[in-house]
Amino acid sequence: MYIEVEEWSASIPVAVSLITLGNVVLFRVPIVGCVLRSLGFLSIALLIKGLDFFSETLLITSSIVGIALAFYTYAYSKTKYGGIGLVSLIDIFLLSMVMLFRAKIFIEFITFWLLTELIAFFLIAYDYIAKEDVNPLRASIKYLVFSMIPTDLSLFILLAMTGFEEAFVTPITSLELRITNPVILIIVLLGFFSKAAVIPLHFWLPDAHSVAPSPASALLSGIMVKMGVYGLYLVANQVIDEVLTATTIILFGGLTAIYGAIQASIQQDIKRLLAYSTTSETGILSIALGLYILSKDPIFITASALYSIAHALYKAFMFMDSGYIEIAIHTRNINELGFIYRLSAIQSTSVLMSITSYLGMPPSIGFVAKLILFTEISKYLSNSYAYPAALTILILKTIISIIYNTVYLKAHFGSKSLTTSPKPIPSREDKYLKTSCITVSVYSYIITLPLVILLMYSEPISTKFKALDILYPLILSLTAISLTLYLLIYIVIKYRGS
Amino acid sequence: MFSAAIVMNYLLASAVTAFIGIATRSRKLLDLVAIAMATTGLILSISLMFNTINYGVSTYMFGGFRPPLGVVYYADFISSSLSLLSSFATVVSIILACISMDQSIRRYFYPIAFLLIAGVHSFLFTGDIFHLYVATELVTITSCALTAIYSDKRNAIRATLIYGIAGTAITSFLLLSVILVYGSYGTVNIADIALKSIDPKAVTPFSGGVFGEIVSASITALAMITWVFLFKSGIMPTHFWLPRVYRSAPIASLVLFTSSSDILGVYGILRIYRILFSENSVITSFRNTMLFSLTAISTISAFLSALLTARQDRVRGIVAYSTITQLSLALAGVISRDSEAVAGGLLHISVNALGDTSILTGYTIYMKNRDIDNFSSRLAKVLIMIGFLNLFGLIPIVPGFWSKALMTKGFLDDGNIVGVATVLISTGLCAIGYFRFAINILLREQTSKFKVVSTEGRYFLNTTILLLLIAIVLGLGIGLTLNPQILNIIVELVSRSIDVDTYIANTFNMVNR
Repeated sequence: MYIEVEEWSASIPVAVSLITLGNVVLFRVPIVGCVLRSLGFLSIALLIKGLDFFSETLLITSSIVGIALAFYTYAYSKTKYGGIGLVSLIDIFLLSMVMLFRAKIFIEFITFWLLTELIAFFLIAYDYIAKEDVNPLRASIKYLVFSMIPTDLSLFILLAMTGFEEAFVTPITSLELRITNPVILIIVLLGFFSKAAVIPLHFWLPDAHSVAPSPASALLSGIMVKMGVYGLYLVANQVIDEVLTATTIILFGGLTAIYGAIQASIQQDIKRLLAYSTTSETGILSIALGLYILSKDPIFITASALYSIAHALYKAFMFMDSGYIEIAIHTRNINELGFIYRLSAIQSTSVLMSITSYLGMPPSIGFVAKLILFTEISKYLSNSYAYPAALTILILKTIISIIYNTVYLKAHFGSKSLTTSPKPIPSREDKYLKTSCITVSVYSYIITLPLVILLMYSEPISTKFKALDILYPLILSLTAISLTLYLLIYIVIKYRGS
Repeated sequence: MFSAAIVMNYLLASAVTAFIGIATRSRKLLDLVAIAMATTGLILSISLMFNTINYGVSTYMFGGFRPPLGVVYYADFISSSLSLLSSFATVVSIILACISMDQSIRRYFYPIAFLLIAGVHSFLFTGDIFHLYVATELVTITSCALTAIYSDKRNAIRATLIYGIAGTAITSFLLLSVILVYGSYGTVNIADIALKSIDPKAVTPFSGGVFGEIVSASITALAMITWVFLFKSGIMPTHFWLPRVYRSAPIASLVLFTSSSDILGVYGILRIYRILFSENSVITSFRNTMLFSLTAISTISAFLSALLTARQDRVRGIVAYSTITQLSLALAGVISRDSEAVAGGLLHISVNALGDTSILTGYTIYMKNRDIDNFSSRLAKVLIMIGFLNLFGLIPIVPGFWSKALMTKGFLDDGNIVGVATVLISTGLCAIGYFRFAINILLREQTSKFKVVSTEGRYFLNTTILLLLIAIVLGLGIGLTLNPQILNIIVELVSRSIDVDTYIANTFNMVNR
């Protein structure tokens, strides 16, 4: 399925050097610093190779989000905190996740996993460190207890099962751990559930993701929760009780998908809305993984990987947008908003692009992901009750996600008018924030074509999913049409806003 | 030979520093001699460590006197590694005393500290239970003196009184146990007792056969000794003295406590349950009951103290309750049936000692330098963070990761899921306290309410000790990460050290030579 290409030995030093140099230069010449950091994150996608299709897509996603955040984090940190201390922490956090997704042996995987968790703790508590706000500290402690500890439990159990030596020499893809004891299997699954914020260990996420600085929330929600799904994927490839594992994952994933979506629909705080929507999405990703375990059809992994990209781009953008609103208007309450399109037409157009992409408007990445997932589940409907159940959950979740996305859109296109004059953002920072946001939105459309081409050359999807042959010629023209459409929408919003 | 030399070195150091303290007013001479003697002890401990790794064990009869009158010193991998830990802590403690204590106090501190370490080493090496009692008493008395070394501090005196009275009372149970054992077995030599507890009909060349009814005496002795050692390591519910002592004793004393005197309880339990009354002894059934009780006690103790660690705001409170947690975990490891868990438990003792030493040293130097913003103060912050990371055991470059990993593997192989959960959840709960403190003290801007104390003259000592500790902690962690074979070697050496037959054979071979 995955085309193996040898990784250039200097790829990591190149990426790390560029990002480090960018951080050093950032103090003196911000534009050069941001460009260098962007190049560093770009080199991740170009030079660093994953283990398989799933890890490769996670690396590409991390790279895209990193590029977008390179400018955004600088502007956000400068405007909100008056300094750029947050930038380095965010870069290290993302780099650590990149190293985790490219980990070839288990000890490498566990090292970067734990490092990522540690940095995430400090990122969640960042407002306590910078502004002495106690809520972030409480949220970070909640994260430590209900996300870090259970995951550590899983990781240490897996490490112990490798007998240490295997963890140092055997590639992750060749690990064959015998997790036959059902109690141990459930503990391991719960550990990764906690990282993916799947029920019953989901409740830390809304607090943690809503109090963290927006660039951190973008990474926590966009990339870090995928670590939990990636962990479950690794477990899925070990010697396990497949029925028990799949049933547990689908059951709790399904509950999380519906619960998270309902909770998101009733939130008034835009960041909490997004945080609950993340739990819902990881539920869907878990279901896809559960179906893979049940059917052993790798196409579910492909669908899950594509869904991960769509969700990561969507969530990264949405948190970046919420950060922009927070900086500009100083509120996150939807009831007090509704006029953002008057303030920034480009920001509101980007929101529309991102939401429609995620909901599955052709030819976005969200569309391809959902197309593959729905089609493949339909093929297996008569095999087991799990498939119709999964399909029902997916449909229900999609309907509810339309509701909460509409609620979010109220912040931009509501009937409220701008009563108080917003705090002006310095022009350079304002430019950086908006450019970063529009970049992510556009990415969710233009990335489809290269990904579909990649899929056409990947087995078994190229043989199993013939629709790609029909889709491929359409995507280029559809991309051009949709981008033109959004340009027109932008002009209309701009006109109405003024 | 090395084992005896270490004890003699510390006894001599105690006498020499006491003499210099009385005879001269030279601060530099006193410090220099103390550091030199502590370093000599460290070198001897390193030599002993290499000796035991190369030759298995190192045995010695004091003055050439044979048991039962003479005392046998028995140094294996476990005792020599703990000896190394204590000797290293002594060097750090002496340097910390140089940095943070007045000359008038140092005159008393050095002799008592050396006496304490002599007692600790006697405890570690002795092959004689009466000598074990004497060493315990020596450690208890000197610990009291080190706690109350600032005699004008009311809290310190109160803590000393509680520790002293409770310690003396409970140590008397150890004496009672020695009497019971001697009365029934007719010997106080550990190898001799171990052999007779397995085979009551055995007749040994220097004490003959058993004298009386050994089963009841062994059961009573085991029960009493267990409580004495639980108290010595501050395992709940016998922990009440430890937080008080940690809140009021000088930092230099705390470094000694956490790396030497407090670890003796866990070490003592290991020796008693693995050697003195081993698996095949006449009290197997009672021993198993006691082991089950100890598992329950260590689990509850680890969880409760971890919860209390999470609530602490001050460094001394965190270190105190964290020590109880880590020693409880180490206890759970050493009483496990699996030798990997035992090795993990012993490694965890060193991890806790190194972590506490790093935090306490870093904190002392940071508080003295925080308004000066020099290399030392920044290095101190780094050391504190490394100390916390080590205790949490989060990343493989710190040894704390590997002690947790070893214990987890051991418990898992033994089918003890509760043990696995205890290790990981309790250290995770402790992390709340660690990280909250780290954020409050290290990451947020601190402004001193106190006068700026110039530490110009001690800059070299500050930097040296900080760099040394960073190098030791990271060096050990990175060494284990780069070469995981070391873990297998440690497990192998520990397995040999807890083998009762090897212990008996080595002692008897030496006595008969």
